[in-house]
Amino acid sequence: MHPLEHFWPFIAFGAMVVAAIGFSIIAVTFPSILGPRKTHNEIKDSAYECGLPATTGTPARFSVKFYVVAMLFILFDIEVVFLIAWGVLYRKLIKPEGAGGLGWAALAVAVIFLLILEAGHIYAWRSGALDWASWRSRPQQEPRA
Amino acid sequence: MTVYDAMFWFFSLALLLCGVLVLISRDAVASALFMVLGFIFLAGLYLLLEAWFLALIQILVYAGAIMVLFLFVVMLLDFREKRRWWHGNLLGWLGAPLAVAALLAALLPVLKRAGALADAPEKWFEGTLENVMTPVFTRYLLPVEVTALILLAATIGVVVLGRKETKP
Amino acid sequence: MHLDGVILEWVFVIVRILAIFVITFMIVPYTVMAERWVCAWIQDRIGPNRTGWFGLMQPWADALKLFLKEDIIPHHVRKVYYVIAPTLVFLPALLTMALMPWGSNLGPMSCVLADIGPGMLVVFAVGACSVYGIVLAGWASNSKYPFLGGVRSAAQLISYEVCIGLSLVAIFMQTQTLNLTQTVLYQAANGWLVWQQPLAAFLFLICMFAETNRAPFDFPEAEQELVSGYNIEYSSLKFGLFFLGEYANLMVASMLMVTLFLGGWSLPFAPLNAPAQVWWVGAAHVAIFIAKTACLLFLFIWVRWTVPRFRYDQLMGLGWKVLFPLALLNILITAVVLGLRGGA
Repeated sequence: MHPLEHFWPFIAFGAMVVAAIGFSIIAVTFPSILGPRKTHNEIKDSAYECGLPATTGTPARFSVKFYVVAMLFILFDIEVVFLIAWGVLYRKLIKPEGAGGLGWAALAVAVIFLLILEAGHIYAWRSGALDWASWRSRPQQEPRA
Repeated sequence: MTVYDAMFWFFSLALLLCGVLVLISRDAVASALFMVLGFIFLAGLYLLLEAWFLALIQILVYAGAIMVLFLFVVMLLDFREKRRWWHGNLLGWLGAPLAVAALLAALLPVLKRAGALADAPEKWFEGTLENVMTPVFTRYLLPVEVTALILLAATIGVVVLGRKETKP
Repeated sequence: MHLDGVILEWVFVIVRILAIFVITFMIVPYTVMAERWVCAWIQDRIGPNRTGWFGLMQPWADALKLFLKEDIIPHHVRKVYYVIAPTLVFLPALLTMALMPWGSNLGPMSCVLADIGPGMLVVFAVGACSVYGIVLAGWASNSKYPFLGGVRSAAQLISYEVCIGLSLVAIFMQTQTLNLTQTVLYQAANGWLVWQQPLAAFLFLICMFAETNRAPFDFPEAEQELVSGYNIEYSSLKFGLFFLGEYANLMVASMLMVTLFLGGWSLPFAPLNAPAQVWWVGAAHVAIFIAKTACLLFLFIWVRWTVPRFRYDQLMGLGWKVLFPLALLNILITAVVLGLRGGA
């Protein structure tokens, strides 16, 4: 085992991380050295609204839809991770059973996996979680009774 | 001490430091960001074990997706109140040592075998995507589909919880 | 590995890091420049033509100006996050450059800085972390437009990340690798993937428009609604870093598209379709890669000044209801075709 040879690409990547962070530090600190001396006044220190003194503050909260999207993203991201791994191996897995593969079972794995997840996707779709503008709490026809 | 050992100590100590900072930061956003940093150092440890796939997936899923959700939630709830870490309740103070003890008890059998495993280099397993995921798609098909079911349950849960309460 | 080999490798690492900085800081300012020229041309104006020869020094003058401006940190911001946020926007683009095969090899030096086995996973991981810069910038500014811009942008980025992953699965099924160099070699031998996977290429391109916050998806800085989005409260080079990061991301997106779909550094005839044996072929590969990237950058600019902005709900709908199912369909079609061929 020769660890260093194995790790070489990651060491190179680490060197890039160091270089990039170094550049960032320079970029963030230089202007405060080169630029004019800092001055403060009330307008400069106020949050920008439209050029006039601000009348309202930052919204403390935002729509719960962002949370729903972030959560759906996690779930489908995990799906993507599975699919990437499956995709890379697919050509080996699809080979006939004699040749070390699974045959069409390799496709069936992913199809079943996708069908289950697609049920969730379609449920989210039908219940309106993916409609950004007109998301109502329930389908609008409901209070007909 | 080899370069390898030095890297191990660097990543482990940095990871521990990040963990402590997650706990004692006054600001929930700072805690979340230290956790992201911790995940990156954890990925470093995985890399040292040649678990390439796990290291990268871990960053992709935990740092890239789950912590984004955490940040969203922290901002959504808008914690203006900043609490010191020792301001926990009694349950927390009692529960934490118990949780740590339980974890150690679970890890103890593994730790006992650690010395023996380290002396068996022929069992070295390179964690490439092929090595890790081929068994998953050949031998462990049922767990894969069960994972899909868990994800489905989570999807439905999110959509139901994300709805506004309707007034009767 | 002998000591000489180690020293040589370190020399190569340093040379390639410098090369990455040179490439980035040559392409990015002139992309800004090209953007202004093309925009002026499309709008039948003259565009910047005063600074230097034909205005060629304009981006450097702008950069110098940003360097020398007062570095304002307003009192109402959350200071630490405010300072690190711009760097977090710029860092992912630079780190992705480390994985980019911007040529085959120059003499004994391979042109990829970090030829990591599962390179695309690193690209995904680094790209996933680019959300933080924007979210933090919006939140740290403690002001309403940046906050809305940051949150919107984050939701947009994560929605389209799913589609990026899905559209590329079809590519991985064909090439059987996550390594960028191997992907280019596959295309050099078997033809460009854009011909074999046109739908995947199209989906990936649309996702790249969304990921780089370019028109028609430039919601974080929808000028009419959010003034300039997450970077309003920034000044001097911190603003410059956002600007730089935006165009660096654009450059990286173009390079990814070139590497994954347009044959990378190769052209489909000898001797340009194989790793270079002589130095001038290596140099030609670098030139080809940069020329292809430039063409795509032109496409990005052209679209920006031609297509109007979507509505935000249309954007989210497009991602989740159109691109997502299409990408799945593409995967299934690819799987069936490859299956009928017996995996060969």
